[in-house]
Amino acid sequence: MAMRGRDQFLVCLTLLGVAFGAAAQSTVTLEVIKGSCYLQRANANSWEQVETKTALLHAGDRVRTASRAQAKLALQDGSTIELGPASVFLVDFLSESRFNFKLSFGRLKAWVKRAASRQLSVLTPTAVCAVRGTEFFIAVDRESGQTSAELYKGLLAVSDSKGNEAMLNPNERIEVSVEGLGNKMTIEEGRRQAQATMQNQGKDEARREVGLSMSKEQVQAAAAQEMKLAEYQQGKSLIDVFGNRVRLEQYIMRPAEDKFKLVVLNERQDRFDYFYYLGTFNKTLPNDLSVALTQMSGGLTQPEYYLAAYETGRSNLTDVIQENASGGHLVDVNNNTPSSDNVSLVLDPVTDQFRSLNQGESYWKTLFDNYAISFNGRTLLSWAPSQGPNIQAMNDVKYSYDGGSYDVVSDFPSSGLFHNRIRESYGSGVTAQWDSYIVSNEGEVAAVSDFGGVTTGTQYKGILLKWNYEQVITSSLFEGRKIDLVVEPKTLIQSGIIP
Amino acid sequence: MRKKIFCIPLFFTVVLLSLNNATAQQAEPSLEQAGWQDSSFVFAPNYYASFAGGQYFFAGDEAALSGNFYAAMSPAMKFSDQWSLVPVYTLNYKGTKQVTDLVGGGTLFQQSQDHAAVVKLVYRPNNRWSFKPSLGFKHEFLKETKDEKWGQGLFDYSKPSVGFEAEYIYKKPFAVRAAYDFYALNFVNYASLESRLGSDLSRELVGADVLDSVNHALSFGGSAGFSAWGHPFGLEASYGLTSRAFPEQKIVLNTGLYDAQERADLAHSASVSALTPIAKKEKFKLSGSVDLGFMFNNSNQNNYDASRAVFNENFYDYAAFSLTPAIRLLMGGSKKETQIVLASTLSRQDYASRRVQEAGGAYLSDAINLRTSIITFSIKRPIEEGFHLTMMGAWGESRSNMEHEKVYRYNYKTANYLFGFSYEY
Repeated sequence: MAMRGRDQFLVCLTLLGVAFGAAAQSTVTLEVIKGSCYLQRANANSWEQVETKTALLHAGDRVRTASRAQAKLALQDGSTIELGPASVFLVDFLSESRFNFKLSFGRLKAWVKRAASRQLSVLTPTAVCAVRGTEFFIAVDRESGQTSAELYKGLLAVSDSKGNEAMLNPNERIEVSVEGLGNKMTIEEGRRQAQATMQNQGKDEARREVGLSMSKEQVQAAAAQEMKLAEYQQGKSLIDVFGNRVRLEQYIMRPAEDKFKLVVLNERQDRFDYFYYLGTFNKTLPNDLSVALTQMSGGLTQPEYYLAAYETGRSNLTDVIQENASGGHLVDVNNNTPSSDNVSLVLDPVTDQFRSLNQGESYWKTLFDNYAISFNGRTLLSWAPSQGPNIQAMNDVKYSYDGGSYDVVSDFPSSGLFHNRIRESYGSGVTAQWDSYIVSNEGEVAAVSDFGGVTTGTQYKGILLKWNYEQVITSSLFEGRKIDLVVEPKTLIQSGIIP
Repeated sequence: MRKKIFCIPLFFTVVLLSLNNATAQQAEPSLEQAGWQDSSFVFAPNYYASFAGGQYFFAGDEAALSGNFYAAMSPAMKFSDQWSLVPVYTLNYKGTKQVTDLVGGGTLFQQSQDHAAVVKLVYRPNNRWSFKPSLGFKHEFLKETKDEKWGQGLFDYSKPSVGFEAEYIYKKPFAVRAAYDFYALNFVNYASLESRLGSDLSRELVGADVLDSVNHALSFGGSAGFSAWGHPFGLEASYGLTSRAFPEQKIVLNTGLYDAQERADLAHSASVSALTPIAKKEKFKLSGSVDLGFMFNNSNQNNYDASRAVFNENFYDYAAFSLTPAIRLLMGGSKKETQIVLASTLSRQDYASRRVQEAGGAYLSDAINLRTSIITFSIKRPIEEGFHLTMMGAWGESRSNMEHEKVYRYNYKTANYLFGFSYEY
């Protein structure tokens, strides 16, 4: 029996109702193409990874793709949206006549079927793209929200937050920032400009990283500068009379309880020279050596510490000059005979200044019964007591010379400069020459005028302390070599080498 | 016949239109072929070079005219939003000392060149965090006397380094960062003279490479922007802590001998910089800045003055402060700006225990302090795209309560000037 009219109407209504109901329940089908995709359902707080290959999306659902993931969204009208890597996409509103989506950041491509009765729009933080049946590409910068829209087919209306609108034709691209719409241009030109912008951004980022690296480098390099500064401040690097660098090291050794050894090392580009002074005292030395050393050259009263023996060495690692003295004992040289050994100037160890002594004022010095100086193991000069130990003056010793005789000439070969030359000749034919200079740290020989014209006495020795003492020793026994030493004069004055 | 004649041009027209259409269609990009990014790879190189000639003056003496050259190359690459590589190479040659090179104070003649390379990998998992491991190497060559050749400088050094930095950028300019760096300082030509001798002339425990050190450095920094008194301010602050060990430098005892313990230093550094625009017109911009710096070094090393048999405890401990106000003037349009900078640096360094010495060398009870003041003036004028003419002058003075200047000058005046040009890409 055929359906009556009323029943047909009810079926149509039902069918229409079903149809409308189905339309009101519009969905988007999500398909994971590659990588990891995450889904946040409407009213949910958390993201869940899409485990199945497809999922149905409803209005309010949010999709996020990982950094290398891609997804496809299929709309019921046959339109397709591809979601690129690192993107966040919201299905904002779905109905039969209107699809609203939001791209928070990331990229999408869309192939939208033309339909006069349906509106599709994509919102970004800075733009609204109203689609008129088309193929288009949208990219949104995560940080700035800047939107790039490219149209491949159809028409695309793009508007900004200020209400300005531009209509894109195929092969056109436009940028939209918080400031508003940019200019339209071809896709190729737009990508070229975007590439240049990216390159400039990349350069700015790189410049910043370079700046951070350089700042750190400056701090690290300052540490090296500080090490070098300390070496200069401690006087470990000087320049000699020939303009070459001289490295200088001075230190004290303690070979025994009653002994100390001062070692001075010099190094230049092509040579190494050293000097040492080994002193043996009359008793055990204290920890603070200065107590004993300040008494070494003598004193107005009998010093508690005095040298019983000493040994010096000068060498260029091949040739050696050695002095040995023993039998040291204290003598008041200002009240013995003769008067030729009287001391008239003394270094006050407290003030580090020289002062003159009064007539008859005692001065106790150490005299040594025995002394010998040798060059490369050959004794050239020596003395021994002529009448027994404990000499009271240098008149009480007998000298011996290599070859039986000794001649010495002293002069100042460089006029006006502190350059003293002592030439020694021995009966054996051996010769030795001692060139002594007073030099600055820059290697310049001091002029007499630098000392105010003073060449002896308190003032002279006081100024001398501010300079360096260089001694160059040559000898017929050295076969053309020399010993070349730079020493602080304080060291030599204290040890008595400079009287 | 007429029909044929009419059809021939029509045929060609159709063909031409079809060809044109086909060509146009081929020229039009396809969405299917469009890449996900404008480019998956960005090459972002930075190049900089400068050359300047000038003179250096010290305590009334002048050095010969010479030149300085600096070049920096950074072929930075961005592989993706997450990964970038920033390699940097710098070459720095100085034939003319500058006022800021106050080390030694006393030598007019000095040439130096250093070569440094750093490779930094930048990983950005999101738009806030970035992680940056880096590897670096630097070698500095010095010629401080006429007899020294390149590569034979006493204080030549090499510095290999490795580091890691994490940075969090909340929103530009607000950012904080923390870093750890390990680096070694190797003075390749330096060995103590004492270490070359036998036991007869050297102390027990003597070391050879006594200047070499290994360093562990932690650093923290941050930048911010804020407004105050109607002015925007840019602020940068940093703090660094370096632990420095000297494997071959033993502690000096009050007897002048060595202890088995090695030297170890702990250095602190901190700085704060503030920058603000002062005035802005169409053709000129004036801005001001102030930098404040602080350094503190704590060391367990002492010193023994053998010539005077004096023991100096805590010889390397010091605290230093510096203040650098500066103003910068930019004149001209944004494309061709002339930059003029006037800056002054005032600094003071106080040693904790290093005693003052009189002119003759006798020790006093006060501790040494160093006070320096430097004024610099520079002009940078554009010639062409990337090219600038540069001019720089500086005057500096160092003052100290230290009177013993036989081995090192503490009190002097110095100046230098440089003229040249620079190129930047």
